[in-house]
Amino acid sequence: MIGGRELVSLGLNHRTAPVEVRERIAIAAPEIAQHFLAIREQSLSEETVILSTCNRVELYAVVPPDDGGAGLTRYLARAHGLRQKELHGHLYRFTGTEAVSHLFRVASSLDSMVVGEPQILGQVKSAFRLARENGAIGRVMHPLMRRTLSVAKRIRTETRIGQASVSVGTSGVDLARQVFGRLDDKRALLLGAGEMGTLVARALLAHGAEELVVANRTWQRAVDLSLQFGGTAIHLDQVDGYLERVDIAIVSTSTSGHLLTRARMASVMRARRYRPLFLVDLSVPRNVAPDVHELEGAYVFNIDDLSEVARAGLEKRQREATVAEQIVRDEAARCYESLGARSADPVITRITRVAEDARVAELERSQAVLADMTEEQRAVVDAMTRSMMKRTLHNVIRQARAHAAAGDEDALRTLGDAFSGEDE
Amino acid sequence: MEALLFMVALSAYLVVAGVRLFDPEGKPAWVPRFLDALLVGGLGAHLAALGMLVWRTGVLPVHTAGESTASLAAVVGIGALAVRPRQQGEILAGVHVALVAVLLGMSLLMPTPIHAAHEGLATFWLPVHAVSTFVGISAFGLAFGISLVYLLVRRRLKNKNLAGLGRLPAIDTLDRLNTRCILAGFLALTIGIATGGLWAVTKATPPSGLGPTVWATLLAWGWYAAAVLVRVVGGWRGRLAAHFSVFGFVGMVASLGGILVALQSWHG
Repeated sequence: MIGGRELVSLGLNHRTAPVEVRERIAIAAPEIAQHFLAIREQSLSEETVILSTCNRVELYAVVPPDDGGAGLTRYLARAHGLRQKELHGHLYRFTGTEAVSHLFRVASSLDSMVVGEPQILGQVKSAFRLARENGAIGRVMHPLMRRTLSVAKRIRTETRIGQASVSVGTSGVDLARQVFGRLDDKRALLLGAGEMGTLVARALLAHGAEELVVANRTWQRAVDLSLQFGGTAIHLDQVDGYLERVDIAIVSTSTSGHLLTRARMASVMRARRYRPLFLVDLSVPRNVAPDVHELEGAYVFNIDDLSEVARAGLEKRQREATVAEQIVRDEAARCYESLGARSADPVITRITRVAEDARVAELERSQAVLADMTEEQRAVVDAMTRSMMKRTLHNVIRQARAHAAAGDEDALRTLGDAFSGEDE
Repeated sequence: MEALLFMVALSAYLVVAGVRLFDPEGKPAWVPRFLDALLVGGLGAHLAALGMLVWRTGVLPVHTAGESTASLAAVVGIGALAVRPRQQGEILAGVHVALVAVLLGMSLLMPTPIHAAHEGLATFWLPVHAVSTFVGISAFGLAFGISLVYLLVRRRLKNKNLAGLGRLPAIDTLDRLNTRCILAGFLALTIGIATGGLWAVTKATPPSGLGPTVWATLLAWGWYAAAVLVRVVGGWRGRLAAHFSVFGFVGMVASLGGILVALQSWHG
């Protein structure tokens, strides 16, 4: 409990609900403001953050303790024209430390479809910004969201959860980097228009490859692809000339048999003076003869090699996720305790104000004596009384925070009442 | 005091080389920073020891077998910091620091008699000759380390042994570094040989013939001249360039080192 309220997270994601359900409950960014308004008007939650992505719709909220998020669940169904039982079995709900932990896991991409993907952190940031802009968050959710972003960054920094490649496209990029280091001055040739080939080409361009040349049996398809990638289309009879010039060749055709034979590539490599050529053969059956890999300077990788890199990357991310989970557990416990302690803030403010009023009143009462003092002496007296007040209140404030962290609302109220400021 | 500083430097090099070569996965983030600091500290102790030697004798520590090898180790150490790639350079740094440690360790096993400044050592040409030659040999030493790592990465790529390959520098980066080191080494050695000739003819009693060290150096120069021709003029790269570096440095260390140990100084 935080200040007599419950922190709750409820929603559904790619694991608990099929896309047919997720798409019905998704909340588009332009609609979020009206949802915040409706939730506030119906007093369903004091503070709310709405996170809606293609894989999840989640609400993080501070709700009355006896409600536990039931009102928000009803609202979620009603607002999307669903009966509550239609959501039954798809929705999950966490409270307290578990809600914090879940939020940290989501933002750190531990709960993502592809563990370690970086987009979710940006989506959580957007959700935070939208909630702030709509005045939907305050004393609890604001520090919680800030902490969430910092925990997600910590996990990115301290673990290698986002580093290993988990797709064929990025695996191709990784292998190209192992050959060339940097890709920003590298030219690539896409031979054929196979789906996997275009994936790798897109990933290479996204990682800075300088230029893409496209060759295809169907000239129009080569032109279309080159326009799509901002590259150049060439005819198949120009391929050898380009193989001598480019650094990366992605072969993805539907031709059966070896298009690039050892003899053909030996001549290409000689002309290149054995400058490295990274060949990605994504065709099945393979279009690059396997023994081309034995040629000096030629590095040939096929679809199985790339899949193996992706599989190893996924395993690595899973190993890193174990470390990240421990960080999440520790941080969530600490954060929830600190949020609890923050619920003492109004009581602490009241105690401090009462004590300060008393101090100022006493100083004014001693005005006759203080009037004879110099400016400097008055400043000393002021600082001394202020220091005495702080020392006196130190233990009281600590006690208030301890009561709040322990969720002992009665003790906190009693302590606050003792400093009600009313004359007895 | 110098001996103590040399020992401190050697210990630091051994720790850095050991951890860098082992390169444990999942090491804490502070480890690389600590190793960098330790390497700089070790190099500082190494240079301080050489500085004390200069202060005590009044001449560059390049005459005897022991002090020459210790000086060479320091130049390789400085070069290792300069050529290290920004990314995935830890294992390469490990190889280079291991080379520094081996050279320094060898120098400590050799007798290091202190020579008083004598005729010839005080001329203008000696420091230029010695520094250029040492820079040349060190650059070849760095090229040797880079080529070893190149051959390792190449082998793993060819065998498709890709696990953990991301921790090694890119093969093209290594090839470019190797070329730069060979070119720099060749240029420096050429200057070293030329100024050595000038130093010899300006001596009051010029030598009657070429000593074994000069012959070995000229042979090394010829080898690396061929490497430069093959790489820069012929455009050949990769495994061939790496083999040139590896065999060149091993041959040079074996011949020059053997002569140095036999003569106990560069020129007898």
